[in-house]
Amino acid sequence: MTFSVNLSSERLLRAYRQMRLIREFEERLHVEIATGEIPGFTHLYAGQEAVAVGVCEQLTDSDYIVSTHRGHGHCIAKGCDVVGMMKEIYGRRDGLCRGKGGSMHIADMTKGMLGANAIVGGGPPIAVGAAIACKLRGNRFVSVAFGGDGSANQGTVFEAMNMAVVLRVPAIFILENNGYSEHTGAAYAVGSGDLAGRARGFGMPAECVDGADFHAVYDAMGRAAARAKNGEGPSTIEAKITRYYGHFEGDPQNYRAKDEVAKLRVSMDCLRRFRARTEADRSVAQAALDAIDREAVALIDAAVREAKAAAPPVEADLYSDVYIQY
Amino acid sequence: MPQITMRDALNQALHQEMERDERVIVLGEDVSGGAGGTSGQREASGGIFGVTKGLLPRFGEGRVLDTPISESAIVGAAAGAALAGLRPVAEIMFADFVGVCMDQIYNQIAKFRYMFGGKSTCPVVIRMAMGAGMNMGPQHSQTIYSLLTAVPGLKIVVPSNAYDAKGLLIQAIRDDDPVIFFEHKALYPRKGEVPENPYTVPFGEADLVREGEHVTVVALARMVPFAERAIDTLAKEGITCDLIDPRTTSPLDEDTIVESVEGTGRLVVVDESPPRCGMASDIAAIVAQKAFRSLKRPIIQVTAPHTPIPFAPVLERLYVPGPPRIEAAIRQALEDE
Amino acid sequence: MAASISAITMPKWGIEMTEGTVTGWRIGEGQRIERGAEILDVETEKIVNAVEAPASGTLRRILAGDGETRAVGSLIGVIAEEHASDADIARFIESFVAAVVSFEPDADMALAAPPAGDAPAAPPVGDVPAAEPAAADAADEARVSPIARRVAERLGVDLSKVTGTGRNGRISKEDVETFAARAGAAEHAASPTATAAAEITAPAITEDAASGGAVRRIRMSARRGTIARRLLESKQSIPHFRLEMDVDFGPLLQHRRVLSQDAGERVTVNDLLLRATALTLVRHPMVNAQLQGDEILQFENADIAIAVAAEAGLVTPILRRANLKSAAAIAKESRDLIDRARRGGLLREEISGGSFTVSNLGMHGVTRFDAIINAPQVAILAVGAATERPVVRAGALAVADVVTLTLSADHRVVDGAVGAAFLDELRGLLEKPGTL
Repeated sequence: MTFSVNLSSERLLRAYRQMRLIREFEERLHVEIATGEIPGFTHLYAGQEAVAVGVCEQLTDSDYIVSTHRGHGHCIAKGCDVVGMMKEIYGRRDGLCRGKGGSMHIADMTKGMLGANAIVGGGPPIAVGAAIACKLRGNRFVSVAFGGDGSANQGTVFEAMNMAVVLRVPAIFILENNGYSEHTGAAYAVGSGDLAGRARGFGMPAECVDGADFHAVYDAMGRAAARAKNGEGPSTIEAKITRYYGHFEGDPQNYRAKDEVAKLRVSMDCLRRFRARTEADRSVAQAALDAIDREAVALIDAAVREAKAAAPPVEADLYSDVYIQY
Repeated sequence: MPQITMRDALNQALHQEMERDERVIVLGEDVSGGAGGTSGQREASGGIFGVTKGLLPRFGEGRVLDTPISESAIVGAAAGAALAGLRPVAEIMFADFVGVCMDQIYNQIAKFRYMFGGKSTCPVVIRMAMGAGMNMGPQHSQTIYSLLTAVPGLKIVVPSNAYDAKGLLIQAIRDDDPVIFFEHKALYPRKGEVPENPYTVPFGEADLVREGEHVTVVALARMVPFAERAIDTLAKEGITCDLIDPRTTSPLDEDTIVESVEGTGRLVVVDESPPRCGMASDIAAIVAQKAFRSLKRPIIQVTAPHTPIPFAPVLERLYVPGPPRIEAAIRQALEDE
Repeated sequence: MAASISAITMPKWGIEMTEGTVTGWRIGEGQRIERGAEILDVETEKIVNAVEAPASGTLRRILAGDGETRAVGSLIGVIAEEHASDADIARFIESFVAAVVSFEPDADMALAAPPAGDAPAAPPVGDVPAAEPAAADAADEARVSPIARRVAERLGVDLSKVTGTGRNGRISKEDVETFAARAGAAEHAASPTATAAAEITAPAITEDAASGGAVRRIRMSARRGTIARRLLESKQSIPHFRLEMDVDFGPLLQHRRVLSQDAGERVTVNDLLLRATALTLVRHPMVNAQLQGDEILQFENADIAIAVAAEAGLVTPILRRANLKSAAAIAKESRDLIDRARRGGLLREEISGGSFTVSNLGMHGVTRFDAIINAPQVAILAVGAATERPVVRAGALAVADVVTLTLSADHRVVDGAVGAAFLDELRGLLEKPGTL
């Protein structure tokens, strides 16, 4: 496995680009949602980019991930088409899911993205299933379940963890502890306060990492994937991180201190951290990062324009794809 | 042709399909049994009802997975394995336990294809043992299929005999849509003629079990052999009935039911489920809508009462509709109002 | 270079918010703002929050002042670069379309028209082959509903010839019945009597207590059922009205004798009647018509259906373009049609369609009757027997052979006067039959 210290500048730039794309995607959505043009619920990932990218940079299209309602970041990190995603969020006919799923159900089977899941805790059992398939095929690939500190309290997650251990499958559970499950703090809702510890209790190795540190996440994921491919079974990574926006867009975040987000945007921002680190160890040129920043803004801008102009679904789409054949 | 039990017919279907297609896997609680036991005996049960017997010794632990008691994880894992290209047959030991894994069934596998824009395929089969009559109490005896028939995206199969059971299970495994397969536990020992080779029974095609002129009777699962008994008794008096076994409730063969009622004008629907929002009222509504002018009198529904299933045998016998109640309903159907 | 103009809209905070109230602008028109700066406060049912500027520029217009309430998505302010003209701003405001945020069912949801040549959904990804086809005999089983199969056996219908319109192309009972009704008049390998017998199920004979005798229960054949259904529908749904006219058939009877001698062909009174009717029909297009939906189909020629009593029930073979045929030709053709109708040897195209029907019960001695219209035609002529009746001619009593014609017409299409004019002209032609 590759450690982050050994990543080429190309790979590092790619990782930065993915994180910046996610950031711009989410920030732009924050603005667009307020106009009322985007229907339904949206849950923004801004702030957590290093976790999605740190994990997915260790994966290929043949590895699987199952995501959560806060899934745009995982989706982009796994290589899903940004324009297709934007169109899906706008409910357009040629969105990734033909406008039938929306923000909470974005999926792309060709990229091994088995869907954002709107049911908290709904994903991990599915990820275990994909891991069963991986094991049957010789453990060459792995299956990753993303979840939050909120989902960590759902019985389905406990079942999935235990099942993964018992069946010894190449499943990796990523618990993004952003401190809040909806409007309730993890400090209150997670009884033991220790998500990695819970996973260990089920009989698998578990690490706790700084979720704002791309390099740390990348390396932890590398270790977990190596174990999985070696037939050693599942692992859990608890990533401590923050989300800048509310549980859903429209959430005024009355449960957070007034200046908390502003402070975290400085102290816990993964893009700043990445810049600082790569400047210090000179692994990439800062000018290249600036270029990526501009490119990302332009790309997202184009995606929004394309999505706004795209056609909505037709009546026949209401009835299609309930079954393959009835 | 050999006469085998419905249990063995289902077992045959599993063996033959697992042989034919290496992507078929089986998972569930004690589908083999004995894992982690101290006897050293693997395959201690072959499934609690013996339906999955012999699979582990033949196909190995990679494809026959004993699971912990974790229905959500079992069904969810089946869902994920299916999305990843396998063809899992998961077992929920008792249909009553569907409450524990309901989300994975009706929010996940039922909706993947639709909400992912037609881009995913989930060829999963969830087998469940259901039904009353064996004193297993309120939480181990329910029918449940009515609840799931209402969910768009699922196909619901309810066989009544060994021949149909084998053909329908093979069809279910080969079908690319999610299928929930209900096996009435009191029918497991029911024998019938079953061809040795694999064959399929199509979904959405009812079986015309008896033919007659006077009354149309529609029945499901264990109610089918009970209805047969009632009808054969009445035949001696010259009263003949069409007995229709839908075999699948979703898709439902509405046409055969409507066509029969167009001929007889009288309908009795028999369902072991409680009366509200069940298959009996569903079929009655369909017929009332599509064959209204053919009806000579109101439709009769024979169902269980609006109660949980009692444990005491004498009470359970009152709960489950039996041949005498069905016979009385058919006689009543012959009376004009 | 076009100046950049941005909209400040009433924000959507949360899925349920439908409107908000401006509680205070923090800046005034003409002031410069940076993107992201908080520029006004809005109050909703649930919260008070600040709106951020969506772009940098100058606040050019405020469209909703303090205390004003606006729907989510509506324009409340305009930011633009300095060099944007007032005209540009005005144009922007006028052409602005607010987002639809209402959950009301009649909200203007944009549904695109189905695109031409719609591509089918992408095939499922992954190594999932199509489900294998079922075993051959199971597939055959599945193609016919069990009731349809039973009906087919009873009617002697060859299922391989039937097109299925049921679920997934399955053959339904209705498909079998429709096939049987159409083919019922056509010649089959089976003998007519055998077919006729097959159409009637072995009657059940029971004792009827009230009448004290045997009661024969005969199940209606598919053919009889179809006839029954069509007649019921016609009687129930068409507003029939009737016009009667007595016609002096003396001249026609005379003319017939002459014609038979000349033509060498046996021409009946009915043949002449058909010719007269045909010639009159093409001059009264409103009577020579069909009603389909809310369209009246007027025919150029008279395709007259002749009502024939066959053993299995009423059949109406059609004499096509009767207006173009001589009496002799009509005689020959109608004799052939009637013959084959009785034997059960008509082709499907010989019994489909028609613009008018003539029904003659004169041979049975019926003097007058009214017939039920053969939908979708709009009229039918009932012909009674010729009887000797007293008539008054030029003030003097005489005896004449009189036939009562009764026209039943669909009042939705044929008005009384139209029907009357038709009958009147027909009588004229019959009473002066020289041209027939």
